[in-house]
Amino acid sequence: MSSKILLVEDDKNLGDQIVSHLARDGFEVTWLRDGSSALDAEPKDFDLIVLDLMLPGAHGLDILKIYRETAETPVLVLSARNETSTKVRSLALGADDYVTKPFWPEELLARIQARLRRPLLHATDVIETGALRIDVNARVVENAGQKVDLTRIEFDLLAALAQRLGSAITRQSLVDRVLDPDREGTSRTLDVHFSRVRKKLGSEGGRIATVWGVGYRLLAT
Amino acid sequence: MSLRTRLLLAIAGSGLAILLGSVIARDIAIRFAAESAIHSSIEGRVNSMDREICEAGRDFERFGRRGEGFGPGPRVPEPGGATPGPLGEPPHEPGSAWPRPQDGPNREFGPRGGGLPPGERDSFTGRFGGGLFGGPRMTRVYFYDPDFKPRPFGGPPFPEAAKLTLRSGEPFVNGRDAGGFFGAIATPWTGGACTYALAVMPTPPSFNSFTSLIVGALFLIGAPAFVLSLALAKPVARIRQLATEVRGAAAKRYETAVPVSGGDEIAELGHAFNEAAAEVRAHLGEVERREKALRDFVAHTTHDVALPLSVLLSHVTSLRQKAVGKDADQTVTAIAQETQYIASLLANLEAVARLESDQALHEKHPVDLVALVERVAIRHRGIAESTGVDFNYSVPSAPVWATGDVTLIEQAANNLVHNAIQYNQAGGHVALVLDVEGNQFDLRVSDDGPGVPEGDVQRLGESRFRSEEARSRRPNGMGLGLSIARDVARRHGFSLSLGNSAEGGFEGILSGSRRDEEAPKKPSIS
Repeated sequence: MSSKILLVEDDKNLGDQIVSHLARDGFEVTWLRDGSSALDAEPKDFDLIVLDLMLPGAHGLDILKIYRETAETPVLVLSARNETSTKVRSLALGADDYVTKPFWPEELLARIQARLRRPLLHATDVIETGALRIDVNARVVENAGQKVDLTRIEFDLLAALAQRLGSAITRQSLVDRVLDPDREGTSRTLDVHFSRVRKKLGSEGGRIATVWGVGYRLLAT
Repeated sequence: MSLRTRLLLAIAGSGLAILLGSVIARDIAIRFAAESAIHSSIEGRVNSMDREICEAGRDFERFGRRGEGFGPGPRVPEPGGATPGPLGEPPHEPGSAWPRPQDGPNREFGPRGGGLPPGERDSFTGRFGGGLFGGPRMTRVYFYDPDFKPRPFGGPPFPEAAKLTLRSGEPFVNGRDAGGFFGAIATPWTGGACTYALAVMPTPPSFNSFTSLIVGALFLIGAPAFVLSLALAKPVARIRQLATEVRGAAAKRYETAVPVSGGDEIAELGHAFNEAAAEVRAHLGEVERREKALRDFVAHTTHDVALPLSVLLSHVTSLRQKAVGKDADQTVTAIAQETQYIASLLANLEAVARLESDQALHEKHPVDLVALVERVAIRHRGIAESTGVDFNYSVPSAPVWATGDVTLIEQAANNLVHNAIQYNQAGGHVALVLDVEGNQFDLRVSDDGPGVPEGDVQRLGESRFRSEEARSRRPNGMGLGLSIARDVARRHGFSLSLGNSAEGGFEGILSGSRRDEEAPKKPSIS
């Protein structure tokens, strides 16, 4: 089911653009153009609210205050002026995030997605991605159902990447977390370990990517 | 030099001048008094005596028996052959006019000698000047023959200058020499042992005068100084008070007037300061009003531009999604880059306005750097993609808190990333990494672009500086962006290191201390 989004924005051109971009990404958008109709809206009916602050009829922060009396729906504020005080006040009144104009549509989209999926981000003990199944507690890795034989260090490195699937992890944090700094804790050793993991994972090994200037990443499927 | 010291010095100076004047005046007065006393003694003496008595020395016998003070007496046995010392020296020394305990029998001879008949006593001795400036002093009279040889009863050598004057026919001469004041006349009894009479009055011992000088000086300087410092104590305290008030008012940007009391010059000074402060206040107000107007204008303008720019960015994105063919793609990319650049200029303009005002110093809140880095990364992802630059970022899994102005820190990071992407080329790499180490955070932006010529590294971050090569490759941007980043770092107490990395690309690292806050109840800024 697509997520329902309430957009409160008075500018026609910008509203049009936001609606069309969000719709293209599969959201169901309700667009209100002034403060008074926004005050009549029922925040509980939506999964997320995108709220502009400068509105005819009512100020965005007042609307936010009223929404917060009845609903916990995430509110993303479109901050027209790049003022720290406005951001701080919005968050103090219960806004969950803000996007400052001018913004790329993908910025807004990313913030909306981050807000909607946030509850799912809890670390789990068993990570399944592609053909890989990594049981962190049992310290077992299976590739397409076949157990992969990894050393302690190799397992820890793979688990570290898998736990933050898709994110780049710095070499330094991998070294700190996995390698014994007194014996083998160099960046060079890290590369050696990863090349062994790649080999052992076969075709799935290609998902372990080197990230320039950062370290490594396990690509999501 | 303080006012009090200055005044006391002035008093000391004028006191000394007065003292000197009175010493001179006293000296003159003494001289006049001495001259007149000498004159009357000598006249009186001569008038009260007969020639025979004088020449026979009977006057001496009469007085001499009662005290030897009148001359050497028996101790100068050779009449006329005596070679008396200079005036004031031994011939009459034992009979000094200054009674001293060791003088023994002479003590009774003196001002209070009492044995003298009143009439003769006055003619014989002259008293004056007793009391304040030294003790009484006495005039002694000696007689001389026409060759200025003293009577056999003794006498000091006749002053040479006086000899000439008397010989020339003057009836009276006076003067002063080492022995004291003297006066001389030609008696009516010419030719005998009493042809001339010389009266001598010794000067008082000098230490006496010196003591008087010290006492006088202390009195003349000390008393007015004391009185004056009593009188000055209050005004000086008020001036000090006024100075303190003025400093206080200046520290408060002249918002309050200084309290003024009384109607004297100090009060006038206070009023004058208040008038000046009012001027300054008005001027400051005007400057602040203009500054605010300018800031408001910038803020409103950026606001007004931000809206259509958002629309434009949105259209560019749509266009990019629809663009078909290499040429169209290149064009859309160029448009995207320029719009992004305008957006970044706009944000920098606003950042400068904030940095120039004092606002930036007041607005400090907890800032989650992880969320901040994610925002910066998302903002530049699209543009990096369209320019073919591989852009990646990495953050720790837990929030990293710092204290500051989130808008400014974010803009500093935006500028570093924008700079790295802008000066790189297709196929290049840019990395944005947030790391923590102990209480420190490091926000590092690195690229594998051309870097900056070594000679220019030092000047990076200077306002509006851009290295020559960069300027030729692309107009504008880098100087302002990096100088804003540097300014932001300075305002927050962070450090910003800019330079070429070991691998050759450019690297900017913003470091600072983390806030001791694991997870605030409600993240103030995320």
